[in-house]
Amino acid sequence: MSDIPSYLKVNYTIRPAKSIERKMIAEACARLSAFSRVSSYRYIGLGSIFFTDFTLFHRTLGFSEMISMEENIEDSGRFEFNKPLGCIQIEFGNSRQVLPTLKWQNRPTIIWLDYDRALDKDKLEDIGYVVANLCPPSMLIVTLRAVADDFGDPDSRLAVLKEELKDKLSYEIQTKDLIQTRFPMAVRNIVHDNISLVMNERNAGFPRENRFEYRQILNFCYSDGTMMVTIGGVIVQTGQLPNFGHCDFNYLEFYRPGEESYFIRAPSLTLLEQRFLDLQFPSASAYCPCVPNDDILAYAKLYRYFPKFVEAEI
Amino acid sequence: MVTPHEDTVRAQPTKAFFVSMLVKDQSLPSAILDLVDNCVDGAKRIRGGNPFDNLHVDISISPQKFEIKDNCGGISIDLAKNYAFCFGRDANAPPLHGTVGLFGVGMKRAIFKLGSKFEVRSISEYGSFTVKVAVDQWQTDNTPPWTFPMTCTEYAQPTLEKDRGTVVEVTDLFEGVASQFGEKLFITRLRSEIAARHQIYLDKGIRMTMNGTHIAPTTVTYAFVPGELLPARKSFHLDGVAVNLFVGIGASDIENAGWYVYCNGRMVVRADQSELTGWGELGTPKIPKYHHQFSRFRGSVYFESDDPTLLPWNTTKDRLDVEADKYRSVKLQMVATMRPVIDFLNRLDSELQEPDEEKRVLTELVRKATYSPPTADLPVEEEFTYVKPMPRPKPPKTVTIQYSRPKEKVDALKKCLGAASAREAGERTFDWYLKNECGYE
Repeated sequence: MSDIPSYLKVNYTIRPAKSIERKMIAEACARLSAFSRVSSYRYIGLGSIFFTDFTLFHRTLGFSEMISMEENIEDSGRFEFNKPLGCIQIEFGNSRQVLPTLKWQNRPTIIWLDYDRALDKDKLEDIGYVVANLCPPSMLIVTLRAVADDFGDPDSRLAVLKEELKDKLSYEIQTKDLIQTRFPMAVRNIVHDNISLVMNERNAGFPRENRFEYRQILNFCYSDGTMMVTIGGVIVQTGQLPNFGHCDFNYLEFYRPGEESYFIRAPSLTLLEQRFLDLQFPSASAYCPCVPNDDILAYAKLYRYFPKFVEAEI
Repeated sequence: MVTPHEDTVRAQPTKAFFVSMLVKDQSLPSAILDLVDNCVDGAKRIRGGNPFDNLHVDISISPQKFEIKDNCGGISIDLAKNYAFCFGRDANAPPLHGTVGLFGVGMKRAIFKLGSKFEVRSISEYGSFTVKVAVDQWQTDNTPPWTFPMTCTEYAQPTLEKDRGTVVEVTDLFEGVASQFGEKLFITRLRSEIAARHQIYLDKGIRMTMNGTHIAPTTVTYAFVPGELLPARKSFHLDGVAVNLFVGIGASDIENAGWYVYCNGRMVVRADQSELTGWGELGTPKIPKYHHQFSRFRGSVYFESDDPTLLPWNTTKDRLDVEADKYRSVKLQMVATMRPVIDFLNRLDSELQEPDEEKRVLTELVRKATYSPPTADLPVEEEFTYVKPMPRPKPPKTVTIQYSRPKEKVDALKKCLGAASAREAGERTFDWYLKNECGYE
């Protein structure tokens, strides 16, 4: 794996699957209004220099308390310069250092740990810390690189993962689970097991009617060149479960409460083709001359979130 | 004047003491390890010093039920009726021969830790029995003698050896227990504890599974380079107890470095890095506090005795009885034997400062080492042995200069000099000035 931060390699705004994912997450977040006014949630993210998620969430959800954790301290001037909104506060330091300095009590939060690297023990510790501290109702979203080769060849992957994650890796994960096609699911399961354990510890000693629950709603898989996995869920207390029901997350096309993921496949279509199809949507029988049916079906699922990239001279 | 008279005070125990109090001293994993110990003792009874092939222990864990099942010979009706379910070991009980169980509390305490209903079923050579108890109901009456109801069958002909064994089943699990039993990572940790703490028995051939998946032993290994790098081994006897001690280095692993202490083959202390095993204690020799520099340290102590009451373990078998005379005297040996390893690791660490790779002798020694478990046939070396590097001529005295300059300027200087680091840029500009401006060669 390269150590060059991904913001120096790729412009986040033009990765189509990522862009779709971001909008889907925004749509899921909007449903938190069943608990309280969405704009009152605090947003914590890893903004990079593009702050794309911050801009989108501010515009669509109205968040005004936003914190970006940024580990590239030596480039701090550049990050401050690129901050698109006055309400974004940049906390310099890696997430492991920053998370414990934030206040969590009585602060419903949406936190997106949008890592661009592979899973490791530090990241699981971040996730564990957040799960132990998030004030319900809050949403936790985690994105991780899910490339099996990062952990060596197929025969040694299990040993490499065990060495890295120690007892944070369930005994149920076997070599066969670590081939590339199953790897995103393995990553989701590892994260999920760790969330579950911390939730269990958090609940110890709490009366049954006042326990914390983590309800997964998102499980995305996508590739803009690199396979990534995103898992997200809401942390609620037992008494808030009726509100959770009113969020109607299960009506979202991309709602995935288990290990099965929603694969974001962004078909390659010209703007003209997109427009031609948009004119027919929503429709189960949309067509476009010469465009493969698979692409039309994929686009039909995503068109509401599909980015329209054009070159513009500003 | 009132005349004093003789009387008595009540001193009998209550069932609640065993059911609710004693369990507080034990962790959940340790309770389950205790139940595994019972199976191992069965294996020892029927196999003695021979391999444990074809014996198995199958543990099944879910939020609804705990079950441990073995084919290790079973419990005879007599043993069950008179001793196995008593609280505390009866002086008339059959003698212990190198067993792991000895206090007469393990199985009952472990069961009480888990839930409020249990059933023990066992088939031994000439009989079988079932003991089924609802603990809440049982503990309402403290009137002695305390008994559990038992259904038993005696056989005139011996049962088949493969059918002999014991099943312990606990249901109505306590809420905290059930919730942990639902966590995959709790089960993962439990497996790792069994893999480490029962490693010697697993190596002897007993097969253990948890929820259907085989548990492989985790073995502590030592670095060997024949003739050049050997762990130390000391063997001695202390009044009925044989002690074997190994000290050396292993793979770098900050969490698993430290001391491992075994009593009759059962690991009692795992990777200890505290004063318990001499780290950071003021003594002779002095041992520093554990830190990452010692992540290759490994020490193993094996206490063996036919009479397990002589061994320095506590009743939950997860700590040492530090006041036990035998442990106190062995600890002195442990500390003395670990000092040369600490010195080695300090030297190994200081080699990191050595710019010339060829001079990193110990680093090279460690690199070519192979790792294997300590074995009884290991040649006895009282001291940790390694080929010591030749003493190097003392380098001239140096002074470290530290200063800061804007990064941009340092980068420009590095580029101009073709220097790989700021340190090199600093050293080379210093040398240049000294030579050209001060005329110092």
